[in-house]
Amino acid sequence: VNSPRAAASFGIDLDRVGRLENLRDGLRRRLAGRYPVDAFGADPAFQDLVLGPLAPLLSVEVTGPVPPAGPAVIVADEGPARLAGPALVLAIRRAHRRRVRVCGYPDVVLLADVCRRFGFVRHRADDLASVLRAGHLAVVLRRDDDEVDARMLTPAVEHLVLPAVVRFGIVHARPGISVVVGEPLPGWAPGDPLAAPDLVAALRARLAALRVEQVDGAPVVSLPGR
Amino acid sequence: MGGELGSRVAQLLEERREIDEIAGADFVPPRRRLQRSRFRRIDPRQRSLLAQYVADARPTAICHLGVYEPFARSGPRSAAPRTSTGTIAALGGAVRCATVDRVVVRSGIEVYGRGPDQPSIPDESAVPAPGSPFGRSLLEVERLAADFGAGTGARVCALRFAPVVAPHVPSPLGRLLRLPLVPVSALSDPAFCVVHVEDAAHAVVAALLAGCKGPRNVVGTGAASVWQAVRLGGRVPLPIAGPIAWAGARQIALLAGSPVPAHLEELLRRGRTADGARAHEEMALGTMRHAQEVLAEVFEWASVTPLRRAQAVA
Repeated sequence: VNSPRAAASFGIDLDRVGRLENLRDGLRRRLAGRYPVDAFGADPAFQDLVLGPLAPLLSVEVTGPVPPAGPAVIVADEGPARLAGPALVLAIRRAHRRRVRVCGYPDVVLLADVCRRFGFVRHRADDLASVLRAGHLAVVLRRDDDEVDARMLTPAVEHLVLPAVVRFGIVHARPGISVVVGEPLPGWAPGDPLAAPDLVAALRARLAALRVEQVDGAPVVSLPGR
Repeated sequence: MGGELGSRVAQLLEERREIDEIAGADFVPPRRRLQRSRFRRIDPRQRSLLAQYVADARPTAICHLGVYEPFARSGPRSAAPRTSTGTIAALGGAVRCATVDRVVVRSGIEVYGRGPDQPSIPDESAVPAPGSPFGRSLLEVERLAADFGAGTGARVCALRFAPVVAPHVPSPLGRLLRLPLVPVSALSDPAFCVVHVEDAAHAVVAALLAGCKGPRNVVGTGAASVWQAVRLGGRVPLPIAGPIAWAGARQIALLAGSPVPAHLEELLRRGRTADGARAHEEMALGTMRHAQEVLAEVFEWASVTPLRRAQAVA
């Protein structure tokens, strides 16, 4: 993990989605072992192979300032069905062509390995720190509406932190995902011991405000062509 | 100085005019041609002989690369004593002459272990918790070196290398990957890092010249997954699950001439990665070889070329 583009090879970028290759070439490349894998176990060629054909089936709307490159953290509620992580992977990939790293996956045999291939990392502060050092866009999901672990977000205080609300419903007259990303939170001075608790408090307020703005709990209805 | 890494480090040091004299010891002769280095063949287990040799040399800097990986150049029973006794002897000799101001020791990212409480990509701030005898052996080397630094005031740097592989480097990982059928985990496909012996040698020299202090991870660029590494060489992955199946696979691999020590099984089942950004920046290591490039090179090792009787061509 020497640079943000450390494992960018075989013409496939680890952070950005490029041109999708056809299924035959993808399978041939897989059989020969000629595909990039990063130190977290993320496999962008596999992501393209699976999510490429799947993405157009869902309608996606992402509003707000998602950075086109560089490290940043999106904090959102996990939701009762725990679908916010996969939804953000799909939505940001589709709308901004970035591969996000979601912190936290079920520790279940085989499923955990599949999640890692899709870019999921463990819900740990040191794993979040590694993701940010490598220059990726990370997603931290709140498991409880009122609680964000300050220790978990400690590595994020020196980076861009964005609150987000993920909702499912009818988007552009089709089933889809709507993601509203709020304005970035103010930065804190490096080494400030109270930065993480301050960040947590600010996030809590900002997420609550975003939820109110989006009419809490109501399904998304967005007219075609909006 | 006898192994691939030690002899290459000696060659790189020979190229530097500011280094007056180079002396080394190992239990095997150097694997590369050395011009102005002094070499003496000493088994690291001959503690007093090695300590006297170091004390007589009166070094100002020490590169202690005498870390013996089980089933690489040493058997599992001799690897740990060679590593620990050799370290005690080399550093003990340095204490006697009291001329050393910097030390670089070889360690490995095996010190971090791969337990559930360990970070996926540990940096130097992660607490070591080795899960294999080789990892514990490396951690002991680091502790001995740190004690030496605390006692003498010398700057001690422990370079935690990813598995060092290259075509001609004896390594259980390289040997296993060259088998026609390679046991892999059926339940996961973890990622691992490697470092090429040439990059590792440059890192040792850079750490020595920079006078780094504390541990530094040295890993090559990128990573590879186990299944991918097997397919890169055109080998067939043999999915294994469960401790009984792994025990069987170990025995079969042993019979096939490629024993699987505990740290290698840990790599195959849980992966092995680390964050090498700090060493890369501080030591200006430049572009290091990519994991897949290193692995491809391992597989390109030329097969045996039969000697044929000379043929008349004219």
